Amino acid sequence: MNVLVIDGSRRAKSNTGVISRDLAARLAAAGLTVDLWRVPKWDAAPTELDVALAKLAACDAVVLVAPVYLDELPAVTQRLLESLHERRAELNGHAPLFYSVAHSGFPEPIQRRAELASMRFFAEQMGWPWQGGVGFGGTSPIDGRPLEEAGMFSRQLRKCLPSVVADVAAGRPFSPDTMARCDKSPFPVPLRLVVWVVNAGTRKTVRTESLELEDRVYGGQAPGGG
Amino acid sequence: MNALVLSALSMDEEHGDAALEAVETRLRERGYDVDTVDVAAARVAPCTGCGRCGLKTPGRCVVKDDMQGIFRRIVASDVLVLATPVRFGSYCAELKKVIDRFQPLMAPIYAVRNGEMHFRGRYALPALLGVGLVREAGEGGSGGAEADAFRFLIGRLAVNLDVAHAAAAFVGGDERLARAELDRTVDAIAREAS
Repeated sequence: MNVLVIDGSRRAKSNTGVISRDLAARLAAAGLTVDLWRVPKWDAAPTELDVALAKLAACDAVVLVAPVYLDELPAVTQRLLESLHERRAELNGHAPLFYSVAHSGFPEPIQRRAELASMRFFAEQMGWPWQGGVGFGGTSPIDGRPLEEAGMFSRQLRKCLPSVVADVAAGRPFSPDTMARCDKSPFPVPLRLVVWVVNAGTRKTVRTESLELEDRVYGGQAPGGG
Repeated sequence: MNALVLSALSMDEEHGDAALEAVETRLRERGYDVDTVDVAAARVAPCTGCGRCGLKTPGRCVVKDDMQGIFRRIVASDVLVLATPVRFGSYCAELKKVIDRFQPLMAPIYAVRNGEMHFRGRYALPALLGVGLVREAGEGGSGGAEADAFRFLIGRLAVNLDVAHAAAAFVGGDERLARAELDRTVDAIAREAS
């Protein structure tokens, strides 16, 4: 089985890249032939899309891994999907299985729901079998490190990626169990405590560097009219 | 009152112009000064996620392009209209490129809102009106499942940006997509914004 893993981020040292590489390695270890490919830059030459179409024509399954920017795909990834949809006829009816992985720093599953829905609409409009999507929250502290070096912040990923790999390797849709187990908060404490701890670190930096966090450099009013 | 329309409707060559005209007309009829930015023609680079607008240059995006002016126009407006062809239930990429750059509108301090973790607002932001261009009507002329997803997305953006008033409406080439819905939605958002 040939699997194309698409790294859906252009950010330098991205967590999406970390997750994509880890997932690709696990799929290869499971005996699959894996091609890892990164979404092109916004201003990439049209030949980049030719490359994507050739890779899609050669694979049996696609796993799109993408970060969540304001509840949705980053613009570069959205643009890739729109471009593929425009040129879908060039795939001559080839329809790889389509899996998706969405991750973000915010812990709640609802923050990934819209993006996973968009990936499903894309699969349906491409005529590709939708195999489901899984979400992971609280990924920001991974900060570009390999998962095994990120300690508790990558624990949820390390715990659940084997289930993701097992479903992909078997060519079956993500099971409800896989989807439910993935998208759980990695923080073992109440949300308000998480917020307090993260903000305490930020405020320490603010004091040390004498920053004005509330600056409104573009004019306007403070929230609440203050 | 000012309405800023960030429009990617030009990406739909068949229906985009008529849809934008419908939106602008309805806003003007309700007394708004309408300022429209065709985001597909604007000089806006994709967000690189550099994070400098957080703690390095708080609230200021270091990328010197048309977003600098768009930020100023957003915070000076009473209604922000995000107008786009609906693609996979979402904004089209040209508009999403602008929305991805919204981070400086928020402070790098977290808050719990709606029981969720979000960035704290930096500005009193305008009411939010999403206008989705859909090709075909769904059940009941509502625009179908993708329209429902887009409506959900606009609600999510309002939570993210800490905007109190938000709504979505749909336009399209299909006559079953009643313009009355657009009228009602613009009326509602105008009431709330005032």
